[in-house]
Amino acid sequence: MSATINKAAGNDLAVNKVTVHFPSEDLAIEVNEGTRLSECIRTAGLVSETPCNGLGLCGKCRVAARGDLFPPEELECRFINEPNIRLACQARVKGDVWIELLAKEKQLQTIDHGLEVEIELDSSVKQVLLPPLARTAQPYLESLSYSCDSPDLYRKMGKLELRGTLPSYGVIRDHLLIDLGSEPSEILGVAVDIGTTGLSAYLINLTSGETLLKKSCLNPQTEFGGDVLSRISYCQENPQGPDRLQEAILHKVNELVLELTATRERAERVYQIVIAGNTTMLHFVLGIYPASLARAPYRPIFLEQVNLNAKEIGMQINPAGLVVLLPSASGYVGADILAGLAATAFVKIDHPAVFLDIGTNGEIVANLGGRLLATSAAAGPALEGMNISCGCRAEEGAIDTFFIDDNYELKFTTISDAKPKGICGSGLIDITASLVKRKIVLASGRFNPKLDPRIEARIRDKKFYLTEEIYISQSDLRQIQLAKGAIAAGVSILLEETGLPLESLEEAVIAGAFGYHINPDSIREIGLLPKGFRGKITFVGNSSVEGARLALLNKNVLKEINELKRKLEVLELSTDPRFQDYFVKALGF
Amino acid sequence: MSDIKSKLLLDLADSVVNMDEEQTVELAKNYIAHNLDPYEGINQGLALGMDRAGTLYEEEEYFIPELLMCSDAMYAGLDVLRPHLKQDNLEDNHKIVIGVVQGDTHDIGKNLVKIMLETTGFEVIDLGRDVPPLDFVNTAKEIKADIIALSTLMTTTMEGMQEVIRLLEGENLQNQIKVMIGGGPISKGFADKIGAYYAGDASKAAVLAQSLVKEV
Repeated sequence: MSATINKAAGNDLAVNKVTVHFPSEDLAIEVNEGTRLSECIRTAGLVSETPCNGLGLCGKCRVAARGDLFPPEELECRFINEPNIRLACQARVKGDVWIELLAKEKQLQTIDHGLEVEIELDSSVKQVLLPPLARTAQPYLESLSYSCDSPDLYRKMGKLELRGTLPSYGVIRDHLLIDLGSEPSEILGVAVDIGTTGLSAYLINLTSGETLLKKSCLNPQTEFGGDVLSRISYCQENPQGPDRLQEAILHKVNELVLELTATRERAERVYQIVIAGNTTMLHFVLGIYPASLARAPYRPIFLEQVNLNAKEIGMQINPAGLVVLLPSASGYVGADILAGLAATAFVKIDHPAVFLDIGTNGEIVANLGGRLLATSAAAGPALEGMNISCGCRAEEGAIDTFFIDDNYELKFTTISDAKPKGICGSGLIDITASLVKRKIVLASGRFNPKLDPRIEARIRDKKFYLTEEIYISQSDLRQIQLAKGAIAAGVSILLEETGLPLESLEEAVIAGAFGYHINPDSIREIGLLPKGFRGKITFVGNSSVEGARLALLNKNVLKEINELKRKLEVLELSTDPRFQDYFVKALGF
Repeated sequence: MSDIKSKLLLDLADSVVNMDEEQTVELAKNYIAHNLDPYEGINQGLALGMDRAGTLYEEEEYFIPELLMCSDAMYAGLDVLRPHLKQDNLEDNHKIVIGVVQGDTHDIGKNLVKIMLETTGFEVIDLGRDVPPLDFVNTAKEIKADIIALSTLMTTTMEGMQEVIRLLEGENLQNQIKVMIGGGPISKGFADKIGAYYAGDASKAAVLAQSLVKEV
């Protein structure tokens, strides 16, 4: 396999580009000169442990690096004494560089290397060898043991007969012949997660099971509204809304497929697309205006798995290909969650555990004493850095880690080490946790009126200033309290429903983009999980696209996801009489 | 006003602000034991404390838990004082019909507004959540309410607020019954557009409601 070159985000023509190679991972990325190695590792989708949050204090992020690097500064020199060994969080690239990760935990930031689920390759789409053409009057396609009902295939057969070539290889989906040719060829599938904010797609070789390429991009529907409800409102106000949303998403998926396969001809070798996503996003794929989903009792139009003919829905893959929309459990516990549960083998975890996917709505699934309970909490977008005075997406210049040391010195990092421009979700949680830990913010969420003189000057007008321009305000803290309170209350209610005490909860599996780069200690400190939770926290990344991938590779996983749909007991939190009490109790830090 | 009375009124207000339910009950009992006017005890003691708590909430010094604890103290004090009220103190309260609009079941915000309205002396009729527009209008007519207060957390149910106003206009009641609205997605701009009054939070809602009944 040849090295892939991924472009780093936020390209700036004025800055020199250099290439960073990861020979062991067969990867190469392009970054700006001056980028820290830790950022290169992250950009490449790899993980290196940074226990001190990249502050250069612990020396745990040592890597072997060769090539053109800036010389180490004093801080870094304390930890390095062997040739070619550098601290990833400190060393910066000057020219082309080769990096070897040393840490044992070296892994891709995808969950197939984290919570690995062993699955056998058993796709419904397979390549088969066809019997030779006999000299009889019976149509060849009717002589086969597979069914075939496609005029397209008749046309293809006609062409083969004309050229006198033999149809030696067929592509079947279950017992249906969907393609034929004289040569064996690639059989491809695409797994897609349609998130409210972002799309992820994997190109998969269905013959080998290998993931060939991964792409992600912003959901183009964001221009019609940032969250699920505002997009539904858009449909409410615009009769053309559902069509536009459908067009936007289908167009984007087609674009992703073409990017993944590189050519139209190769895109024709894609025979199946499996799509996971939240319930609303799947409605939009079908061009459905889910008005009833946005009003109590929050009734979706459909939840079942939907199989679509690729040609009919305008997917530019093989015309006989199938587009599968995975089933959802309820209006607010969607296929993305079911896929995530399948990908993490969540039902097979043999101790009490919760699965969390945190976004504007925080979905929670609990596996408690043999029951699978699910709910969705209206957390709001605060934990993603939205609706926060200096909040921003996880982009260049976003403060992504933060720490206050014993001398009240602030330490923080920004994405790509750019000039700080705002605070993204992970930074926000670190900041809140640090303020609480240092008692700069009290348990009630209020700024402490009695502050250590070393930190006092940073608080002006109920705002804590990290830099001259960037601050976190009292009202930002209130937004965070509302968000985490809703999630913690949801977890408490699911626990109460099964009668299990909080202490018995052994694990919290955190899925989604939210989990990345977040310090688990900060999650505990702010009380995103109910206070008293002592279990471990596991981050699994985008488990939704991973579940779609597994469903593509093995038809039993698809069955399993459908079984999960039936097994999950979904609770509506907003009408639960216990919710307000739990919520109010969970607001404090 | 006697010294002891003004001292007790101040203490009542303080104990509400300090979220001290037990102390509020003790002070209320003491207040009655001194044969002082329960009506003033409510308005210039408990309600004043709640008003101060509301201001702290507005200033973000207090948050939902604190506001609720203050209201627990206030209601506990009310339970002591109310039985001693004379009949004529009970009748001339202004009335407000409150609820979460149809299609929405998120009601914590509404519950906070209700507390602050009760504190300021309104008689509040709570229709709960997921309430059809016509129910608000019918109830308001029936009990001769001064104000309808509407809340929603979801953008998709906001139009229910406009429907309430249309129904009022249909019966030519829009001048008698004022409509005030609030909730996550609601802005002053939206309120202006549909002809409603906007309250940014629970404390502001109480101030707004008072000014609305003064206008009448």
